[in-house]
Amino acid sequence: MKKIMIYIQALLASFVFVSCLHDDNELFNESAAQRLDKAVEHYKQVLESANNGWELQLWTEPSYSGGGYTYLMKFKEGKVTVASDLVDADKVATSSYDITKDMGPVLTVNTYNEIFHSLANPSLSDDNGKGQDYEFMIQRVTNDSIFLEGKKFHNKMVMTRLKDNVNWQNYISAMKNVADNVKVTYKYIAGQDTTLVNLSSARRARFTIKDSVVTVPFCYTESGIELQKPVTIANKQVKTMAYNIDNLTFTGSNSGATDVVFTTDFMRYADYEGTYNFEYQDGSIRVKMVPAGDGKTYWLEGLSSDFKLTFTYNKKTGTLTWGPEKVFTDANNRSIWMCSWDAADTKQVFKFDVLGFVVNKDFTKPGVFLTFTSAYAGYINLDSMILMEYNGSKKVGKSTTVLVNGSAEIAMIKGMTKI
Amino acid sequence: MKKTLIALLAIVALGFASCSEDNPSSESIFAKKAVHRDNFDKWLLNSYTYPYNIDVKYKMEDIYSDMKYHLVPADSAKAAKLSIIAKYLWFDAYAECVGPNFVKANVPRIIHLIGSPAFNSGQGTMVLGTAEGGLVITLYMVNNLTDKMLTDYATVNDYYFHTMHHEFTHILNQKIPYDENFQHISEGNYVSGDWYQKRTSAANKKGFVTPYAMSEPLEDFAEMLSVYVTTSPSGWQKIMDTAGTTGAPFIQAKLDMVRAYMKNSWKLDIDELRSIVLRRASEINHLDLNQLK
Repeated sequence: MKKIMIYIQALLASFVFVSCLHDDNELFNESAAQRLDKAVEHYKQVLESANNGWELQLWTEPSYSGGGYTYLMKFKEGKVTVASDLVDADKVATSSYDITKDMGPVLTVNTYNEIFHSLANPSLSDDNGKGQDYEFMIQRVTNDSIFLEGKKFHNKMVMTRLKDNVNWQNYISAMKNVADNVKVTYKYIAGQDTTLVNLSSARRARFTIKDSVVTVPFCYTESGIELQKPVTIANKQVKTMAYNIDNLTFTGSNSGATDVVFTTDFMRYADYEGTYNFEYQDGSIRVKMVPAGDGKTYWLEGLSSDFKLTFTYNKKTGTLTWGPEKVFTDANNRSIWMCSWDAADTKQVFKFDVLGFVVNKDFTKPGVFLTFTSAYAGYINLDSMILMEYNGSKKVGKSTTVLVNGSAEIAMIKGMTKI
Repeated sequence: MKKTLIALLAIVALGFASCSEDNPSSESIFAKKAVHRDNFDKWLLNSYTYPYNIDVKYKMEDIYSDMKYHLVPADSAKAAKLSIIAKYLWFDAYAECVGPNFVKANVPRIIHLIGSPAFNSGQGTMVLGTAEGGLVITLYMVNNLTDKMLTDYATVNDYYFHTMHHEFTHILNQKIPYDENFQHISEGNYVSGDWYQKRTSAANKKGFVTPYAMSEPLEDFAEMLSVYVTTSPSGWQKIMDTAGTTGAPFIQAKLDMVRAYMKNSWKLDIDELRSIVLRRASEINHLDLNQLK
């Protein structure tokens, strides 16, 4: 009996100790709510302290599977003013912003901003828009950098303080100028190894390094591009590259990467001017490529004294395109068309203007040799041109009046050699 | 004696157990801070919050939004215009019909404005409005509004006021249920999720005012009321004519129940509400949407 009493007393005593030894001092001097309040106040104050605003490099779609976009953002008294390389350089849009307290401090642009929300707008066909976050968990703040994580798509991004002397419009213009002058494919040769990079309009850089392919999103910068994360090229870590618009070269611009230089095989508009031999199955004709004066069109003269053909320059790819065109109309509404033609295979003739040829320099050959490649090659294999006569929209037959070298047919075009 | 001792010890022990101080700290965790309000915020306070006890949230707050959708916030200028019209055409209309206390007691406490539609992924449909538990009405597509649409009653009615009457009916139904015989009138003709494949005229002929009414009795009831009070008598007659002998008797039977429910449960005459709504609709062209008064 006594034993039981001792046990019971010991048990009761242990309760006493448990409750009195209970230490409920907080780890921090203030409650969590108060600390969150203070953090929000502090972050707002840091955000609004940047007189010239901040630069945000924003990555879209989950796991960085979209592109990179630059926003300049100035925060003042609950409003945010935004500029971006997505729109004209002189455009800004203002809406409200807030730092809310849901998943820790969250920066949100909470009324519609036509610039900042443009990639977030959903549509019936794409219900997440372009996958852009406009609410960001604030992870860390220094005086010059704010580290964010998108609340919905979870990409990590950094907002950096803009220097006071940066002129927004010039800064955005510089980015847009790089974007306007960037071509499609560049290569870098180091010893035996060639690295190719393809820069897509969706702002994704696809590197082919020997046999492996790495794709990362990139942002345009004032001087070139910045990759979302470094890519290893010839044992060097490349993160940023400077673009030389005159030479069309990308040079690594982060430390240790400055001897990585990407170049591109590219024909500028002016490079096409000159005298050529137009070569096809039945021989060779001396022709001239004559600039039309508008900076984007060439006339091909010399196939016949009756007409010239029109070639349009593509600034992005450096190629010329030609499509079927009307070359002659008489008073009775009878017209002659230069049509595209699949002479080798289906014998089909087209007068639809997108079914023509892409003309490009063959960079594997010395000198200038222009190749003619069928538009939509693989689906339609155009190889020739043919002059057809139409009465209104009705096909009459092969032209008997307007001819090239005495024939309506220009069969099996080989290309044009500059002389 | 020993038992008493044990009991005594136990009481003493409990005494010790509560020895730690855990009075709440005198400092509130809710910081008292002055709220900065711009003109629109002040207008909302005077036009919605004070008279009707309603919080209009035009700044998107994701905890009030449905996270399964990808949305963007509302444009504040468009939100202001919509708020002016909504007050005139909807809140003030109910207040005129049954008095401001009815509005205060029954309308949802929060109106949440969203810029984009809520697209149902892969379904080809979108949500125009929702009412969550009688507390929040969410209105989507604010950014699609143009000035021309705003002063065109048919458009704003299709987009918003029809939706608001509809969602409000749900709230009233949640507070006081309607006669359960209502669901038997069109029993067997409800098609649940397939409603959007039906045409309006086909729905009418089956005894429904809209295709959406065919989804379930609850929606049928809300559609009945919302279509009735926003449609002119001649417009209503057109619906009945289209419904014809196969549909009109069903619509009429349901309308009688809706009318009785509103009269008995809420002392609201739906014909009076309709004439007030239509009168106000004819006047929206005179509202100045660029001034917050």
